[in-house]
Amino acid sequence: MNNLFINYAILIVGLLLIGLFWRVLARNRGEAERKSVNRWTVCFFVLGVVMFTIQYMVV
Amino acid sequence: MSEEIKKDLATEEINADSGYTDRAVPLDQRRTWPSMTFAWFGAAMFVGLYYSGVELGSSMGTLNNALLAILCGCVFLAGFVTLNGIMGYKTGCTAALIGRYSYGSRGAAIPGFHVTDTGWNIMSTAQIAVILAAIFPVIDMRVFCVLCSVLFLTNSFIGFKAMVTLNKFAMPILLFTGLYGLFRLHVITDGGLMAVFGMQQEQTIALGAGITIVVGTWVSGSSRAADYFRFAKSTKDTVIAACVGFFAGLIICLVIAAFWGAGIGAGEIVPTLTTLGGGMMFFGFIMFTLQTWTTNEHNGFVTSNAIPACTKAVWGRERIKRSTTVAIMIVLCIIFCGFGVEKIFTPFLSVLGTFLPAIGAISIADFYIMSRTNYHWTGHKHYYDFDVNDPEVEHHKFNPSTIPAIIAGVLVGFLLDWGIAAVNSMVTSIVVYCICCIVLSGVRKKEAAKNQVVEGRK
Repeated sequence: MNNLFINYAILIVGLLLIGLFWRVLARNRGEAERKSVNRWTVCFFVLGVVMFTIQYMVV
Repeated sequence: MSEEIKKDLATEEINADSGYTDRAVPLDQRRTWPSMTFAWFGAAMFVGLYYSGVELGSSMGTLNNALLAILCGCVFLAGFVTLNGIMGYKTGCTAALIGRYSYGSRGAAIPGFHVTDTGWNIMSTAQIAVILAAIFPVIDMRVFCVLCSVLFLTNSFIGFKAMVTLNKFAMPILLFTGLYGLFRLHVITDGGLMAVFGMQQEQTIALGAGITIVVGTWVSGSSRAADYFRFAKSTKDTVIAACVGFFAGLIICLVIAAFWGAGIGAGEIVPTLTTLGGGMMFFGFIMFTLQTWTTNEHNGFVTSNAIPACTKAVWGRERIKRSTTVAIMIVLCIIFCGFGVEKIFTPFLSVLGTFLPAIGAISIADFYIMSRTNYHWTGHKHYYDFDVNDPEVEHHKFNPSTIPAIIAGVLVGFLLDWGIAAVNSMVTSIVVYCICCIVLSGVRKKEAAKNQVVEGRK
């Protein structure tokens, strides 16, 4: 159970850090592109957490 | 500055940013061999080579057998890359765009719909996740799968120059780790490295199958060599980058891993690194992370070039943007990566090594053979002298000779038990394609009639 908590924590913090990194990279881009990056970041965050949960239960 | 010039410059900037996916690279954007060699040397190295090398070293009976398979496979791949690269340099186009010459402006969707790089992306991410999970056992392998899926395609949004920078870090670390691994093997083996040549393992992989495994490691990327070599300034730059950068990067990884495999006797990379000791797990962690990152960026780059061109061929305009293509790759990687796909690595390589040469061979046969004869399917001679967006190229929609050539190549590759599957597949496709181009004179006459209509309009 402890391991699972640690794994979720690392996953969430890792995805947030990558999201921040992407925002920094996209700061000089146009408005539309920045919005697109933000949308995809949220999408990857949600998908990453959901898929980890599914894979953890199935595999 | 006039508005027209400003507009031209803006268009140029947009095209430069998007990697010239819809037209030839202008001559002033071309690069000389040092930049190309750096890019290819780094891009050639990836975790899969170490997996394959260790497996060959531990499963081909002796190290000499493994080295022979590696040499033959690498020579084949370097030749394949050079042939595709020269096509890229001459036309200035991506591999997907070059398909318009040989497959037709609509038929280009066949080589363009190249999903194998997406498969590779998933496979190499799963492999690095296994290694990372072995190094940090408290963290689940599937956490690494998700994080690496997202992180390792970041630079595909930025472009080619960023990849060169990343490769500059990857190369020295890889060389150091590989050579240090050999040194460690020398230290821990009775009799040193030379004793590895005398070691006998059980032979479960024959020479032909070994070569196919080596070919399978890079045949997918090799068929896309034009994506990078369209930036080359000359044939010489292309040949040097392919034969020095690509060949060296490929063979160094495979040979080092074969030594490790033959010396340690373990078929997998993690126990091999553990047995080598001396901090090899730490150096391996840095090396594999950088390697996988650069290779995944390469996969992202070529796929994001190919898919928009493919949609343009089918629907007449680009339906998917480059960034969207990369995002879809990340989504697929997150979904599939954590389901243990790394366990089907060798069958995956065998399928790629048989299937893809058949598709790539058609462009090669068309460029190097048929376009120099009077039997080219479009009725033109020296067809590749036309710009890829010329109406003369645009109005030739589909080349029917490609279908029997692909089917014959794939069937021979899968069914023939003799020789090397990749070579059988490629040679069969070339022969059948050339025969079909000569025999199907009706197609040629029909396309030649279209040429006259276009000529009349001019």
